[in-house]
Amino acid sequence: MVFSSFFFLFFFLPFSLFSYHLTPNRFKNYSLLALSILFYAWGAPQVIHYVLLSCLADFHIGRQLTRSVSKRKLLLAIGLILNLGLLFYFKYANFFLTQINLLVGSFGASPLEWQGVVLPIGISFFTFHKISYLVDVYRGTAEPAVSIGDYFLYILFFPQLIAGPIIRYHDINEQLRKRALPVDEYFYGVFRFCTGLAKKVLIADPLGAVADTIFKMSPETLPVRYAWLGILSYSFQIYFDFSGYSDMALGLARFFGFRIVENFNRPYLSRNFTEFWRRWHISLSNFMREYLYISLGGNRGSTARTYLNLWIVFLASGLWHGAAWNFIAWGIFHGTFLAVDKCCWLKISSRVPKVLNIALTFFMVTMGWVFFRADTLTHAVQLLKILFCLNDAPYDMPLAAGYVIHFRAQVVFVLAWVLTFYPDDLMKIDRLKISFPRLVTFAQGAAAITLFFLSSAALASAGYTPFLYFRF
Amino acid sequence: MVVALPACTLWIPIPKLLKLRGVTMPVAVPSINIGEILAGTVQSYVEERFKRNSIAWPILVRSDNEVNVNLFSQLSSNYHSHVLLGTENRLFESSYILFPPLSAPVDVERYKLIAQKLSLLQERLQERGVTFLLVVSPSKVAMYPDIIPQEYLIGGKQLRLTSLDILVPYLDEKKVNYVNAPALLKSAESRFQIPFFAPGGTHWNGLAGCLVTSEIANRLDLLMGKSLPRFSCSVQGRLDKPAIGDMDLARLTNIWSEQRFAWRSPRVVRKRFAGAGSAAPRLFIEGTSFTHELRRQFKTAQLFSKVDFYYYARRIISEGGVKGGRPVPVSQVDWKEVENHDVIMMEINESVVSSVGHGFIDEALQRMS
Repeated sequence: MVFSSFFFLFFFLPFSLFSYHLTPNRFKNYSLLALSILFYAWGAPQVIHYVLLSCLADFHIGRQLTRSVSKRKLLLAIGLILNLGLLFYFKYANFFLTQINLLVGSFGASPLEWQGVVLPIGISFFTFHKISYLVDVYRGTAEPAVSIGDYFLYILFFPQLIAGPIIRYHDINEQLRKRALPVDEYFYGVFRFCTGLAKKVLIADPLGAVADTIFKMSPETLPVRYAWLGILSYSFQIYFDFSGYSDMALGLARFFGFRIVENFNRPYLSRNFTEFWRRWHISLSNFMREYLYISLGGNRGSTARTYLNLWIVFLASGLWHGAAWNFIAWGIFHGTFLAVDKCCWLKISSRVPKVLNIALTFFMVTMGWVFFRADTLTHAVQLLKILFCLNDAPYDMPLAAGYVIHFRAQVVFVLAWVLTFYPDDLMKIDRLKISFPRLVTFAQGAAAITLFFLSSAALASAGYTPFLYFRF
Repeated sequence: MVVALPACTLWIPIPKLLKLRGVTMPVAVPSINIGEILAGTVQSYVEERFKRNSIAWPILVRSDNEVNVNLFSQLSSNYHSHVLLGTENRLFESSYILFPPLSAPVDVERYKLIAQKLSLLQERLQERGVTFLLVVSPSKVAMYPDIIPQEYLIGGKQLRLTSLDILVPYLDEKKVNYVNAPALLKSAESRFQIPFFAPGGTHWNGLAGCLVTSEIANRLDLLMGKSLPRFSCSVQGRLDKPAIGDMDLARLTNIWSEQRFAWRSPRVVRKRFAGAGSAAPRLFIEGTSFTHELRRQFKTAQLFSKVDFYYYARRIISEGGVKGGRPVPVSQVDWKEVENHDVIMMEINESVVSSVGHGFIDEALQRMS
């Protein structure tokens, strides 16, 4: 079940809201927990028991961390090994076994027998939540959860369970115990949810269809202009999809009284890679910085050590995104440019006009997306060659534009550019809100309703392609 | 409350006016057991059924399609839509321009072989006293290529929309009896100044059907040496509303304003100039959905005493529509029943001439060998 599905919007969401708000206050967390378990079990019934059992184990480890002073390091290590071990098993075992078999095969030996495992949805996210809990309790940054219900709710809270944002435990622990729900917060949640839904359904999905069509084409026959259209469409798709989903998560969380961290801050306006990672998937950056980069020593060591730490963090980020060489390459790509930033580029770029910095950063980030989107590393390299006209036999196959990008998608493509790059100070919503609060609230409400209707309509018709008649 | 409304309408049957039109794959009903739940098939079924049973769904689908038509001049956001909006508010099926592609070389030998097989079939049937006639129906986009919007043209060039021009010389060489409806209608265009396809339809209209049926009657009269009813077709004004079949694509658009594709169908008048001097023959016709119009014309003109329609070589329909027919795979056709007709016809659209017979020709040749 995803947020942008008919069933979620028109059944699960109203059912959740009714159930939660009709529940007495002291049982609200349990009501929300039950809904979250139902949400996860609906989509991943085969693995819900793994998730619940590992949460139970972590809860008890967390408790012991505060009770057993001498064994704290050992308990933390056990907790981390269990969580990372599960993540490795479910997410990376298939990949590493495949690589081992390729290596073994090249020596003529028979491959190891292995039955691929089913990947629990959201494992990358809730594993990080569990690690955050254990480390925060270990460091004393936060008190352990008062009850098992509160802990389970932190991990399984359905708005952020599948695709984040990654909420550090100390950012939410107080809200688990006590939270309010003023009406204006609720309506702001509605606005965020509806704009997030629109970003995903009205912008990301049409551009995703364009990118999918183009990336499915054989590299031997892919025209250069379509390759550029494809990668640019993908750049916007991934931004609007991910930020839209985060907006929906933020909005949903508000319905239940939670305020969670922003995850995106107009990342394509970044002037360098350092700034990009302060604006893109902010919760991942925060997590990696706090729990990995600083643990490795951060920038407290030598310059070389700092670069190495950055590189390791982004290698881990790449791997976290997916178990494949192209994701690792993507991580290395970003790690390298972050090191370049620290080394010299930040000083050089301060003398370069802002617009040029933004354009250059966007261009480089887009090149990084080639690795992210390609099926394999080889495919990524082929696409890069096409983009820069370096392929051996440049081919300009005649292709009807209507099959690749119809007019609505063209309009959406232009809209994506505008929404991505309009100047920050153009829409002074905060100032308008102070001067004309009712007008802004009314406008936001009208926008939310319109966007919700248009998004629902687009969702409803997305899979509907009727035939005139059965031919057979 | 607002988002809960669609769920609350689950128990209200969707009014006929709101129901979405067109044929979709039925939703398979899974067994309710642990295995199916763990596999997620039960959940997928519940979600799909919820959507299809909710009144909100057809309302939202029509609304989205309406937005597409009014703001973007397209019918659907879906790249796999079966119906496309062409120029001058005319509709056409996307399959007519999907193949054959411009760049694909034409397999000439294949068309030679088709003509050979048709000739052999005609010969074998003649030996059994059965007259054979091939009818090639026109494609809307081949007749009116300007219907195709610019964005579907490859490099601004016209797509190859028919292979009939490749087949015709071989048909002539092998002396196959055929009616070339596209050529016939092209020659009649200037006489009538009325399109032979309705803006909202995918099949030829009543005027085209009448002209082609008249030609069929002329050909059979010559071939069979019988005195069949022959008639001419003319247009006297317009009907008040579209004829059956002139709005089939328009209804499939599932928009609120489908009437924008409506037209007043031409009022076709038949003038008989030669009556039937002998018993009307019995017809067995294998064909596509274009045959429906021919059946209507045959009935009005009383050309045949019996018409059995073998729809795409899958269902035999003697009366009524497709649903009234009985499924008969081509390997299980009762050949005695087929031979018990005076005329065997095959109808195929010019856009897919290479699939003429849909397997029936090979089966017939095998049975008659």
